[in-house]
Amino acid sequence: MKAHALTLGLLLVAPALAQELTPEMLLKPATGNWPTYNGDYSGQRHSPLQQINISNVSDLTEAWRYRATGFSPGFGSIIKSTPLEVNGVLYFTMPDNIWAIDARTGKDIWHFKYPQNEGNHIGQRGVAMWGNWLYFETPDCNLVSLNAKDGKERWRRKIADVKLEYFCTMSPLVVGNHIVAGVGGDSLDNPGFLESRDPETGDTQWHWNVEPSPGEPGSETWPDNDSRSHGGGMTWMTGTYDPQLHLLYWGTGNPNPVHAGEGRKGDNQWTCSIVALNVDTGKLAWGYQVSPHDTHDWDAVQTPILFDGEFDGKPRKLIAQASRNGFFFVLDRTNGQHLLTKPFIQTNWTLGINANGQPIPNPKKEPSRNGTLVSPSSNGASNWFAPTFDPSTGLFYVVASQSYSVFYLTAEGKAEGFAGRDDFLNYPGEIKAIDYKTGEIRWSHDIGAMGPGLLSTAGGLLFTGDNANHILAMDDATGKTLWHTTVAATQANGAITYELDGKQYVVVGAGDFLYAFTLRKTN
Amino acid sequence: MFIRSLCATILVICGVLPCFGQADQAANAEKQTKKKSAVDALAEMMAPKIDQAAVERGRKLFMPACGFCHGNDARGKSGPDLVRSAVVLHDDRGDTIGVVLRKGRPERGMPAFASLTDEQIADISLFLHSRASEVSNRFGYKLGDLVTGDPHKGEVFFQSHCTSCHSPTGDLAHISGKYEASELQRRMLYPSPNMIDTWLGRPVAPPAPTKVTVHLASGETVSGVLDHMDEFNVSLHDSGGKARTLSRENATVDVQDPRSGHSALLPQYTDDDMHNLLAYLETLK
Repeated sequence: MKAHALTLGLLLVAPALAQELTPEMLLKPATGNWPTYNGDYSGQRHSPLQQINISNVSDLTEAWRYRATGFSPGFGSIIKSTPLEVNGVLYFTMPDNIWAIDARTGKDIWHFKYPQNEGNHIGQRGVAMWGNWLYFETPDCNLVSLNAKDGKERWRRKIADVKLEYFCTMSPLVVGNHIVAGVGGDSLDNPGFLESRDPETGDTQWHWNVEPSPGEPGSETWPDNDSRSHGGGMTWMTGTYDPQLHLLYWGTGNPNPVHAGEGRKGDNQWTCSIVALNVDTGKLAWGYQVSPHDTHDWDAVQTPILFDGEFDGKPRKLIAQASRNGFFFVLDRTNGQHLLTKPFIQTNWTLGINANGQPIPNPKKEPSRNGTLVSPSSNGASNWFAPTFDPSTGLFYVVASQSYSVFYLTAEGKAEGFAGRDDFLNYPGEIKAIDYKTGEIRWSHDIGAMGPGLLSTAGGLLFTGDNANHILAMDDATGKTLWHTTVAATQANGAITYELDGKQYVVVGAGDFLYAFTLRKTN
Repeated sequence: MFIRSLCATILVICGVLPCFGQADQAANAEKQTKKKSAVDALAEMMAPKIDQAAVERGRKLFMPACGFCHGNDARGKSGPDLVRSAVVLHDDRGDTIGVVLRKGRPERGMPAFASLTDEQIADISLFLHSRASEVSNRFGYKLGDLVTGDPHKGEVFFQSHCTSCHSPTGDLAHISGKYEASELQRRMLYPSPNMIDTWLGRPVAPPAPTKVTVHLASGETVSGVLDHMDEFNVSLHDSGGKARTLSRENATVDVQDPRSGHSALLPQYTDDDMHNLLAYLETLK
C-alpha cells in the first residue's frame, strides 16, 4: 500500500513539475527527453535508446499521427523543425506557428500563432526550452518567450532588423542561463552576428560579430571597412557546445556580396567558418575557415558535431563538419588544429588543399558573365539537413548531393546583394557514411534528392526518408534498408526519438504531418 | 536563401523520375517560339508591385539632385550608398528621408532640399526602395550575353561527344530558336525541367521515354516505359500500354536512362567546352 501511495503521490506531483527543463538536464544523455534541437550538446543526434533495434525494427508501426492546422499556407509551411520532447510534451513549429501536443498520443495541447509579418517565411527549425519557458525566432527576427504550459507569450525582443532583410528561422541553443540566437538573410549585404540573450528578460548578454573589428585578427582578410561592414556570414543553424571546455561551436554563412568576390578580395573571415566562442563572453577562442573567399553561397552552417575519439593513434577531442562546399573536415576542438580534409563528393572548384587543410578556391571557378560550371551547386554538397555520428561505428552520416550548377555573375558596376545567380542542373541525394579517421566513404545509399535530416541510435539504426514519401530505417553499419513505410509527404525535418513509459518512439515530420512510430509489441 | 527552401519543396512535390528529367526530343513537342526561361518568368512573378510611374518620377528627381554624390543608381560615390541604407530602408513614403532631404546634413556636406514637396519626396523614396528591391530580389537579375564561345571548337566537341544520341539536322535542328541562351545552356548540360518551372506550375514537356526492363524473381521479364522508380517499387507502361507497378524486392531492374550521357559528361566539361558547345548550338537556327 505504501508503494501505491508513493506512486499516487508522484502522479499528483508530476503534472506540476511536468514541463520544467533545468539546465542540468541538458548535460545528461537524453533518453526520456529530446530537449534541444540536436537532442544533446554534441550535435551527434545519436540516441542511446535501443528498444527499437536492427533485430526488431521490422515490427515498427505507426502509433499516432498529427496533422497541423490553422497555419497560413506558404512556401515554408511544412514541418522543417526538429520537435523538442520534454516530459511527455512535443513542441514543433512552422514559420509563425508553434504546436504543443502529447508525445504519447499526438493529442492537441495548445497552438501559438504569431501575428502576420513581413519577414521571409522560408522555414522554421524549432524552439528552445529553459525551465518552463520556450524561445522562438520569428520571420521578422523577434525572439519570443512563451510559457511552455499554455503557449502564452511573455515577451518578445528584437534580434535583428527585418527592414534590412534579416530574417530568422533557427532553434536557439540554451546553455546555462544563455539563450544563444543566430540570424539569417544574405540578400542585402548585412553583417552576420550571434547573440546571447537573458532567459528571463531577453536582454543581450553578448553580441559576437562575424566580421572582426578594425585591428582585430582577421580584419586584414577584408580590403576595407566598407566591404567588411557589409560582409555577410549569417549564423542561421543551431551550434554545439562542450561543457568541459566551456566553448560554443558555430558555423557561419557565406560572405556578401554573395557571388561577386571582386570587391572583397581576401579570405573574408569569419564567414564560411567554424568558430569556437566562450559561452559566457562570446569571445572568439579560435576560428577555422572551411571556405576562404567563398563566391558560391556555401554557408558552413552544417552542424559541427563533437565527439571524442582516436586520431592518428591518440585520443582527441574532435569536431567534424561535412560542409556545404563538398569537403569533410575534422579538427581538434580544444584549439581548432586541423586534422583531416577530404571531399565527400566530386568537386571541381579548388586548386588543391593548403597546409592548414583549407581548400584553395580556383579563381577561374568563380561565377562569370557567360557561366561557370561548378560542383556542387549553390544548394551545396550538403545543406541544413541534420547529419549524425555513431560513436560505435565511428561513422559520420550526412545527406550528400553530387550536384552541378552554372554560376552567373550579373552585377554591373558595384556588386551588391547576390550579384549573380546559379542555374541548377540536377538534384541528386544520397546518405553517405564517412569514416572520421580517414574521410573514406564506407557506404552510400541513394534517397533520390537532398534531404531530410538523420537520426542514429544505439539500436544500430539510421532513420531518414527518401523523396518518394517513404520513411526508412537502415542498418547504420551497412546502409541496408531494414524497414520502411509510406507517409503523406516527403519528410523534411530530422527524426527524433524518446522513451516514455518504457516505450521508445520515433517521430518524423512529413509535410504538415507528424508521425510517431513504436514497436507493435514492446518486449 | 530561397533556394534552400526550394530544395525542400522539391522533396515535397516530386516523385523520383519526374524530377530527373525531360528529353531532348521533348523540345520538339514545344512551341517553335523561344520559350521564356524559368528564371525570367519567376523574376516577373516576384517583381515587387511598385508604382513604376512614381519610381520614374523619383528617378528623374534623384539623378540631377542627388546622383552627383550618391551615384545615379544610388549605390554611393562620395556620399553613402543609399541602396542598403538603414534610414532609407526604414522610410515609408518619405517619413524619415524627408527630414534629411529638407534639412540636409551640412556637417557632412549634404545641402538642404527645402523646396521639395511631400509628393516629390515620396517619389524619391519609392525610387530608392525600388533600387533596394532590384538588389535583394536576385530572381530579377538579368543575365548578360552568354554566347561567347567558339562555334567551330564547339562543333568539334559535339562531333566527338554528342553524335551517338543527337543530330544537328535531326532532333537538334533549329534548337537555338527554341530556347533563350541560358535555358539552352542548362538543357545542353543536363536536360531536366527547371525546378522553377515545376514550382511555378508552368507547363513542361513530358519526360523522355525511359526504357526499363524488370526481371522478376518469378522468372517473368517485364519491359516498358518507366513512369516512376524508387527504392521499393517500379511503375511502368508495358509494351501493351498497360500500367503496372512492381515490387523491386528480389527483382533486377535495368533502366536505360537517356540522360546518362549527359551525367557522364558533367565532370568532364571545361568551361571553354561548355561555352564553345553553346556557341555551336546557337548556330543551329
